[in-house]
Parts: sequence; C-alpha cells; structure tokens
Amino acid sequence: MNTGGCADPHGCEDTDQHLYEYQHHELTPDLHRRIEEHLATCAHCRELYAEEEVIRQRVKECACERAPEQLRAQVFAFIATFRTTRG
Amino acid sequence: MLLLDDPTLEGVGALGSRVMVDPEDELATRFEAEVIPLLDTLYAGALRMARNPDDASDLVQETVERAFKGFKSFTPGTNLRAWLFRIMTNAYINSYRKKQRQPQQSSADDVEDWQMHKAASHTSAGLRSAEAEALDRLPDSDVTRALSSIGEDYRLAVYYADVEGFAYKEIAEIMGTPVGTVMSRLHRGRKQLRELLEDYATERGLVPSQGEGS
Ligand SMILES: [Zn+2]
Repeated sequence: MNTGGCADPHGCEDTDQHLYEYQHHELTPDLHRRIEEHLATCAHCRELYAEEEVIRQRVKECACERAPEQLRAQVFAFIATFRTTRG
Repeated sequence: MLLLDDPTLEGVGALGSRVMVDPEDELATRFEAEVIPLLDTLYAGALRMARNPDDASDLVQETVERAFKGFKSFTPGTNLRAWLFRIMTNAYINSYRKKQRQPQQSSADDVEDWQMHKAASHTSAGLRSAEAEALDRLPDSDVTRALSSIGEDYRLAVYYADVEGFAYKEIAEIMGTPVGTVMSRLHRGRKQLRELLEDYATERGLVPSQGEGS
C-alpha cells in the first residue's frame, strides 16, 4: 500500500488494521499508545483517521429520529394497564 | 406483635389496610421512569432494523412489552439500554425479519477476510484532507442512504458502536455473536460505508479532481 513515504510503514499497517478499535477505545493500553504515537508522526494515517472520525460523527448525527407520539401514547397505555388491573 | 420489633418490617403493620404501594405498581412506575426516556433511542435503533416507520413502531412496542415482562430480572445499575437493545434485536430476528421477506444480504464473518481486504485504496495525503471535507459536506440523506444500503449485520454493528457507543463486548451480547465477529462486522460495515460515501461525494462533485493520486 501507498504510505505516502512514511518513515514507519509497519506503523501504518498497524494503524490501518486497528483504526476502528482505536477509534472505539477497544485496544490494549499498549497498542492504543503505539497507534497514538504513530498518528502523531504520520500525516498520511492522521488524515485517514480524520476521515473516519468524520464518518463516525455523520453516522451518529443522522440517527436522531424521535419516537412518534402515537407510539409514545401506546407505551404509556400499555404500562397503565398494569397499574389499574391490580388496583 | 413480636415481629414489629424488627425495623426491616416497618410498615407491615399496615398490611390489610392497603396503604402499602402495590409492588406491581411500583415496578410499573420504575419501568416507566427508566424506559420512557429511552423511547427515541429505541425507535431510532428500530428504524435501522425494520427500515419503515410502522414496523419500527411495532418493534419498539413489542420490545417494551417483552421488557416489562422481564423487568424483574433486570439488574439495576447494569446497562439498561444494552439490555433493551438485546431484547429488541431478538424480537426483530424472531418475528420481523421472517415477516419482511426481504432478501438479506448474506454476510460471512471470518475475521481474516477484512485483514486481506485492507485498504488497497490509499491515495496521496493531500487528497485525503479534501476528502474529509467532502464527507462532511454530504447531505444527511446520503448518510442515511449509505447506512441503510449496507448488509444488516454490518449496519447494526456500526449502529451499536458508532451511535449507541456500546463496547464490543456489549455488542457481542446484544447480537449473540463472539467479539471477533463484531469486529469483522464493524470493519466491513465501516469500509462499505466509507466507499459508498466516497461515491456519493464524487457524484455530487464534492471531491476535487482525482487526477494525479496514488
Ligand atoms: Zn502511517
């Protein structure tokens, strides 16, 4: 792969492979630090990561639908039946 | 009465006078207080499964009913959102998916596969930052469209990790799969998402001319 002339191609490979786990904070502290260090020195991977951050942010933002009022009312009504049946 | 000396039994003396709160009532109150605030979240998640508003509403309603029945077994202090999503995922798999009859994109789950596929598409650094900007400028509808067009298992894994922020271990429990499977679904899902978004950005002319790259 093209690493943009990075001095640490092995680090690029690691970063590419573990980018999502890094992003989701799922790596061992050791590996997390290694990737962090690599990102600090490699512009290529840093930009790749910046893009993945944009994607994650966009996905997060687009999922903000609100429950329809009718559903809300149905749920309240359902719960209410358990109150009154045992009054 | 001898029992009244026990402080833990305070209030039992009122037994028979119906002053006590019905335990079932109390459960309903607690359920309402904790689950109602999560309705929007559940509905947004249901839309990623059922993909139309009516089915999504039905799915949430069914989830709420199942959750209420099992609420006694829910351990307070543990992740209620994750617990509800597990119930919803099961409800979806057991009833809605069968009903929908949509051809499901199959998704093989071997972990090695994504490792082999990894980014053959690297381009030069200069192009990349423009790309981040282009991705940022896509309309929301493109993001929604991209997410709904990737395979269901991928979509849900991405949704749980990126929107709900669940830990991989929690996602594994919700989806009933090993953590390795969650990771491979996330990798593939996010890669596919990225490819689609890049395509949309190109179609919209948001990506500057790709002349010299790679
Ligand atoms: Zn690098």
